[in-house]
Amino acid sequence: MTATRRDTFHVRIARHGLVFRFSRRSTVLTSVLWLCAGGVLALSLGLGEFDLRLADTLRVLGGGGTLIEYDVVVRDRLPRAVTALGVGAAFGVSGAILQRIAANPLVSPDVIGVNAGASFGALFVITVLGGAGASLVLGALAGALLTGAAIVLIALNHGLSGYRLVLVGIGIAAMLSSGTSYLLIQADYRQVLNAASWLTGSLANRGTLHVAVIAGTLAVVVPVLLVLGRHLRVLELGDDLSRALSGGTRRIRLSLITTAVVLAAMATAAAGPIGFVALVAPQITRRLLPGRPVPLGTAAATGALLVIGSDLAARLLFAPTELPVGAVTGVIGAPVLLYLLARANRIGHTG
Amino acid sequence: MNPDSTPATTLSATTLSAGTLSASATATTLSTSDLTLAYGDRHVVRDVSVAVPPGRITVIVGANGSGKSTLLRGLARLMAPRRGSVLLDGRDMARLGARTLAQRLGLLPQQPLAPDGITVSDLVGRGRHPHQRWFRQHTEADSAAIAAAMEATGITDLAERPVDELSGGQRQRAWLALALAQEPDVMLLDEPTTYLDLAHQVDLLELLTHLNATLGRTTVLVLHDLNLASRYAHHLVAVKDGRIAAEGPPADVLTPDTIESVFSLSCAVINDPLTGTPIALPRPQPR
Amino acid sequence: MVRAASAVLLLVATCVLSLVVGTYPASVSSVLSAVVSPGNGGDVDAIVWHVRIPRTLTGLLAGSALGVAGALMQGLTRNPLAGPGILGINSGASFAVVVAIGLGVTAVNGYLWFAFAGAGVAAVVVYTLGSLGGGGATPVKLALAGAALTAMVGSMTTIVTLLDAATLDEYRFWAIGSLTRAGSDALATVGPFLAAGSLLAVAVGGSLNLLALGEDMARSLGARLVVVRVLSAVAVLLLAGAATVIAGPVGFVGLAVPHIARALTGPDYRWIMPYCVVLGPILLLLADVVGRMLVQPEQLQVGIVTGLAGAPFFLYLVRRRKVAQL
Repeated sequence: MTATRRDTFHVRIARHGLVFRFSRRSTVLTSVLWLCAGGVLALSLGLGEFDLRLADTLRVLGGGGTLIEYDVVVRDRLPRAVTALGVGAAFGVSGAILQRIAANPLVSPDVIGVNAGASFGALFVITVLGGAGASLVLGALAGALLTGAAIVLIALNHGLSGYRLVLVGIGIAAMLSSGTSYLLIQADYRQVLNAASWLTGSLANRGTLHVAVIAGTLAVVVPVLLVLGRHLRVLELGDDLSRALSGGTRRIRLSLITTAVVLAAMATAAAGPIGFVALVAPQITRRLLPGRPVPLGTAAATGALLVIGSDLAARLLFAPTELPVGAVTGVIGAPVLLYLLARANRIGHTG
Repeated sequence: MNPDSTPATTLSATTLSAGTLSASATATTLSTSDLTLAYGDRHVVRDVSVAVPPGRITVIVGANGSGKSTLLRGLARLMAPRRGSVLLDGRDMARLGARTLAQRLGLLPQQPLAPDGITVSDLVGRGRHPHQRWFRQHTEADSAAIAAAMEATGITDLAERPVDELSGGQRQRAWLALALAQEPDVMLLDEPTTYLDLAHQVDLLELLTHLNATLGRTTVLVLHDLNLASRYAHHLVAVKDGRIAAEGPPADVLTPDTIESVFSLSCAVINDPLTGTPIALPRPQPR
Repeated sequence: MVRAASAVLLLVATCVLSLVVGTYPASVSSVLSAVVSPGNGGDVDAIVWHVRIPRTLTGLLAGSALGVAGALMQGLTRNPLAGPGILGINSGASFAVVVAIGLGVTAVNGYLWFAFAGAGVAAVVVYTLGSLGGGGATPVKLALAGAALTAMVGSMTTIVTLLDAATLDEYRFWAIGSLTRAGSDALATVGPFLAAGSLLAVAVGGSLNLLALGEDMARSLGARLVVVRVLSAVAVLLLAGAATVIAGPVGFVGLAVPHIARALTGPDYRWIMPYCVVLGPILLLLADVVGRMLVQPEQLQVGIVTGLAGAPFFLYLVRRRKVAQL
């Protein structure tokens, strides 16, 4: 108890009477993770088929360099890397919110069907409408949001229990992935190849559209979470206690779930259903900060680092062939989680 | 009903004749020798040697975090000793088979989990597991034990009700019935009175006393309330910092000095006008 | 009792339906006479004995195996989201099949042992990883280790299929569960595994009931946690592994069927598992029959239909009942 208290510090903005509470350890960890992510970003701007030294990269970013260099770094790699950071952060936060509300480490937007909805929407656009680019983003977005809305509406029986939400999500996800399989079997071979890459989650050919989608989302969601996030501490205490402590639990729970769904939907629209990030980022965070609830900011940093690191690996691992990032997040994220799991013998049974 | 006025004294191990009682014809001895229990490198119980008097009610008291629940978990073999051993009838418990141990020793944890939708009779029935085999899944003895356990705890009428619909007191009784249906020689209960109002606390302890008196079952409880402990215990064990600070009959243990040292609480001790057992009265703190 | 009897009756009806319905127009009586007196050499006889009976048997075996394996897994991890897939069985088998395709194995029965080996290795790795650290294979660690390994092996599968387009084309058909790929010899091969797995499942049922009361209570009632966990995991591997081998990675059945059984019979695993034995094939075979009728003359693989047809029922149950929290 005392340790936690010593760990806490407050940031006061006296003029407006604002006080925010932070934990020292998580603030340090979050900063370190974001710094690492920034480092990988710098690396990934320079590395690739067209190699640049760090100094050159910075020069190009500053407006110098040849036209080709500008094209490669600013028009091609920068939007991709920025999308990676934003998408990773969005998935991390989305997973952290859902896992904390449902008090279940297996819950994530992939499990409850948001990704399946996005996949179905995008695949529908690819195979039935023959679309690409912006219409693909729109299809994925529509799929994810409709799915999210359907899940919440169906689960909204006697109050919105996290448990029911998850089971409903699983049911819907099963239907949607059946639909996806059907579309894939009906599709011709070229469409399948095209779709397979998108369905794995890919950051190739990202442009301003994708950056705008994810940056806009984060710009709206982060302030919302600054206000709503603290309710998570109460919500995870269970239905009865949380009702006593914060009154209108139902509305808060609903807004938090909606936020999580929107985050995952927008991230999926921008980069495809990159699997596992939303599940693993909060779990890695939790084990780096044992004995406390997963802070959303740290989960965001973990997610961002995981996605941008995976994307760099996806580009370099089998060069010149480029893998979609979603094929790599599992290979990179899973060993980290497994290592942390094996190491954590102190918190054995609580996991 | 207090221990002195019941025939409990005549039910001590030596006088308990075989055949008069179904369970524990010979009372089982439970003791520890130099027992040390630890979570990781944090030693919670240190070098404890304690003998639980057979056929009697032993109550473990102590401040929060003193290691009393851990000691109980050690007695139930839920934790492997770091050093030392727990002895059941003089034999090292570590060598007993899981089923043999479960037939002889039952534990009611502080917060057991009830699966959603389980009925009271199903829950109580699960206590019969150590007596059942795959080729003998249910016998008359099982039905009799379940019925007797529910009768003794007064929940026969609730048999088909789902456990999650019960009140706190009823639920606690259902769990106690499970432990009774197990028919162990030794029953360990970790704070069984938590969540109960005073009347239900007294009910539960009277019930345990009655069962102890009629069946001669060795009972070990962890309790928070010193005065209830004093009234219902034959033998009181005070734990401080993982060691035994004092043990013996309540009248010997519950002294102002012991309470001061174990609980850091200044008390006056008077005799209960109803039972003669000691009562601790905390002194008003000077403001 | 009435419920159990009607469930069994429904299963029998489903089997008959699965024998009768198909692209080839055969009357009910001709199918039944072919079943009763085989070997009269007609078209119906050939179709019934070489196509529909193996298909129905596959559904029966895979459905009940997946249902029971799901119940075991949920009891073992006390997590309602755990299906047999959590032990890494589907992902392990899938990866092994991709490797087999890459190595040029073409016969369907050639995949069989690859899939089984893949499932086995994955299950052992998940269980070992979940047991590392303090406290043994606790529910949370087991579930997380399974999820992590599934993601990792899934990623590897994706990488291989993306790098090798020919493998992807072959694999995408294997990856959707189907009841038509196993012949009677394949069914005979997995039979002993299914039998052994079922016996183990029966043996641990009572202990899973104790585990549901929490670890302390379970141990004080005489459950040997390590033994129960290992036996359950082996049973899940045998059952779900065999099901994946004959039908491919069929999702959802293993997850949903135990919930349906729990809603019908309550929280006693000694009842949940027999219900799963009956309900699993009903779901799988009905889905298969629907798949045969939906887009005639083509057929929809059962893996697609289980999701489409089973999920609404599952949603209905989840919404209507107070769902059991494990």
